[in-house]
Amino acid sequence: MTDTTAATDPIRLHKQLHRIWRTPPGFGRLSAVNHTIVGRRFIITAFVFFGIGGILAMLIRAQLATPRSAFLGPEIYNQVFTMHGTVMMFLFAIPLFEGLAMYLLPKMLGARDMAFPRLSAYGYWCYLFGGSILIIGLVLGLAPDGGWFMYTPLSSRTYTPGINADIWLIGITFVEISALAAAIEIIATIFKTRAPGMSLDKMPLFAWYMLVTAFMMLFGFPPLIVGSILLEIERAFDLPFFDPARGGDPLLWQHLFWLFGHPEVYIIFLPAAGVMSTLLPVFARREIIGYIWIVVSIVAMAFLSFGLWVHHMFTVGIPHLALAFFSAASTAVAFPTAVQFFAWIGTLATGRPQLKLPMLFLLGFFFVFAMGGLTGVMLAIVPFNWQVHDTHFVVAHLHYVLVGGFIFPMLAAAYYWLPHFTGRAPRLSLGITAFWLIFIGFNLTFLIMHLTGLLGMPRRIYTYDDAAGWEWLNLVSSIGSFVMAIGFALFTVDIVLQVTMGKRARRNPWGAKTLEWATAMPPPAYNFASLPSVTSRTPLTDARGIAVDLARGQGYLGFVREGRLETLGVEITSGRLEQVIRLPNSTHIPLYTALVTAVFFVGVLLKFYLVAVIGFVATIAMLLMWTRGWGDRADRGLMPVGQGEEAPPHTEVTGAPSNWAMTLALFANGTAYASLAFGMLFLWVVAPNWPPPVLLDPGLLASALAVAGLAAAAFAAMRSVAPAVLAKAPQRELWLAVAAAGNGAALAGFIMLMMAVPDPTRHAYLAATFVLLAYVALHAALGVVFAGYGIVRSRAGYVSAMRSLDLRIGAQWHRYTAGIGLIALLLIHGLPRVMGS
Amino acid sequence: MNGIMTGSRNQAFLFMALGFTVWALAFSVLYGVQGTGCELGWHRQPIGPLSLLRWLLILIWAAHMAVLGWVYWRCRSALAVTAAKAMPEAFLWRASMALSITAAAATVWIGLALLVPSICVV
Repeated sequence: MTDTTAATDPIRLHKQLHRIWRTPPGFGRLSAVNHTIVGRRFIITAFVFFGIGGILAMLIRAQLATPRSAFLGPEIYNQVFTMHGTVMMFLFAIPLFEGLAMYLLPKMLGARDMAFPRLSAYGYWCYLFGGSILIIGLVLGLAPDGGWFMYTPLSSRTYTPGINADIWLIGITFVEISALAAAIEIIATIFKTRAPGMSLDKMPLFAWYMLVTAFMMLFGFPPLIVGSILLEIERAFDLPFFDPARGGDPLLWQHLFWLFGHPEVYIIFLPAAGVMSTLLPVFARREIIGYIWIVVSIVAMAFLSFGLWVHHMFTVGIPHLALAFFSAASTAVAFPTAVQFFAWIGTLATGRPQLKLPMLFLLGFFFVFAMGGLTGVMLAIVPFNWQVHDTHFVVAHLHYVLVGGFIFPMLAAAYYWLPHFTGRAPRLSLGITAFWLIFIGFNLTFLIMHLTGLLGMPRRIYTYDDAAGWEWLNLVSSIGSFVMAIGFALFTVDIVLQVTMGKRARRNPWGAKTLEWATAMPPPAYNFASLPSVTSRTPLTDARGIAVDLARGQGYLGFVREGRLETLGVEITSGRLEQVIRLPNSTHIPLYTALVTAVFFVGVLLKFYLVAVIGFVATIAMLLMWTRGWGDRADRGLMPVGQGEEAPPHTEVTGAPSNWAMTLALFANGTAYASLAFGMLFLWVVAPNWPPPVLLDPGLLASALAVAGLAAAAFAAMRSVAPAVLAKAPQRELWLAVAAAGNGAALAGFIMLMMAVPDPTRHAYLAATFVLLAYVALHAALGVVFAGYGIVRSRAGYVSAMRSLDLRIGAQWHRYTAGIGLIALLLIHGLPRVMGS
Repeated sequence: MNGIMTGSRNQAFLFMALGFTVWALAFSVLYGVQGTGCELGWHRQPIGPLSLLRWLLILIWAAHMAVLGWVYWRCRSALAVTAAKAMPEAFLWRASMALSITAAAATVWIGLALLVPSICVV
């Protein structure tokens, strides 16, 4: 039943929308895909992991409080500090801001949900299951124990023969799926699902921060995933990527890890800085100063942060000039940070600041993060870095950066948005006491630690002699850490009390000007009964009473059309109305998909490779099932959206979010591929024991078959989306069949080449060649699936000249596969010739 | 007309990333060529007062600076023909111009290292 006239009765409209957007109760909650629920789950789960990480930190400090302590033995201590870092970085910080972004972005942007709600839910389950693998390992005493960066050769099979390192590699890779899914989702959401009129220059700064952060995740996480896969392959099958005796190099792991690891610091900092830029103007009671300069500095910071990774490797024996490059970049990143600092200070100085509870935590950020930033500049200078390398000075620095740059803003965010989450305001003021305990405890712990570091105390030692001169410093650090822990416990109590016993909060209690405060508190599943039109950066100031007007259905889409969940899509830069995006309802399929994905990962972990293969195939099959019955079987054309305007459905436009999702996924994939190719070339140039004892002789027949197949598939895929072909089902299906056959031929060619590789355990060159070919072969195999899927969708009536989205997504894949296939062939043919000469 | 405006906006948005993409390219190529050159002994081949490798690195650095100069010029020209109140184009071109200047400054900063330390000494 369609009623596209605006309903003026907000209760009736609420009931209509609630009926289709709600999540079923009971076990039905497991089917939730709504961004408010999934975002909350991410946040709560992240805080649970924070609690676990915090307890591990207390164990570390209890152990180090006194010299020659017998509290923990070295084996357990190694697991404890490894898991503390791993949990805090991978299971707390990243998922927390992902959850915050998922919860807030649609509301801030004036949308009803994220672009891909099922992907959010799938990401959450991957995060939960992957994280659980690590925690189960910890409980069983099998946790990883090689440090959170898992350096080789310590983490190689020779020195870590058990399952501990595998738990890290498999668990983290599983969790990283969640991060990549979130990155794609966040970018597509910010690009496409903003309210009409919200051009990029009118976008809330938090969205700019999250957009840049998500791009950093897209390019930053693949090197770690590739590194983890290579290390797991080395551990499981003895392919020697990191073994110098066979042409590998432990430094390759360090490069791949820190290519992720240093941007990671900024990936964590930028969302917190986004919180700063959102909250400060509210409490300063004026608009933020230097909007454009903040945007410029976010982008600059993101790029520069990818040029710092070697400052973690200053002592490994890299030529002075290269050290100078990285030292220069490491100091340069202070400039965009400073620009944001001055914008915040200027906003405070020219505003009328109010010292409310969230503001207290923001002031804590200023003090703590500035200290961490300054020691960061010290560490960027090579000679100083050499002096304090691997000492507690570095531990102090990184905690000042991460706690100052992430936890203080996130605690401010918790107090600021909690009324929005729960609809409740605090009764007590425990938060102030919690702040001072955390602030004093933190500085007591880590300011002192600079001194222990400068006095030469190394990181990761489980005990020390009482003649070392570090006793009282360590004792003070430990006392401080327990003060801080009491502060966090009080914070938790305060939040629980507010959630359970808080008084009812009034709407927009802080007087904020961003759109999330135009929803009810707590928000309904659909956020807005109708969607706003945005004309400035402060929509709540421009249109007073906007919340009521939207609840009355006086914005866009103030109606329910055929029971469909709809939000609007816009042109990226201008925010001009472009499309009506249909969103999926609650479904268990993301949970089931994550479960079979878990079968794959656990199969690999326990070395049940047949089970792993079944899990992998089942995951692909489940992912294909996501689209079953999803789409339009007839062209719709322009549809009314309210306000006298019309827009086509997303299936009939070129800039649909799912098209962007594939583009973004291929960016990430390309980064992974580039990391692999970089690894191969790095080993050739730098690693010992090259050239290899035997070179690959790639057969011309296999190469020709691969080239012909790739070219045919790419060409056929392009033909299948040509307007004249799209209009005729038999023709488009024929071209899709050619694409499938082309990919099949390419797959055969690459398998033949893989079989021609001499024993890949003999040398890193052979191992890298084998993996490079396998990478492309896997893409060709998936190309067959994509082409077949296109045929199925076409036959089911979901494709027409206007509705070509499925085929265009597939065409991107085929073109990309052809590209990486040709690069692989160039490398495997070219490298032996260069090495031979 | 509308299509042209959309193209200009999208181009302006892409240019926001272009300046620092050139910086990233300069950074990666300099690091890669330095490592490869040391491995292949280019630092031991003198050409005039400097070694082949140092000349090569300076050339790479200068080439990227030239590209950044073009990026800046392109942003400035586009901003000049964009009405000051034409949002978001003016905003995006202004941001792109600032980013091209910042990227150029960052490239100069890392390039200064080419003039001083030994290239291949560990």
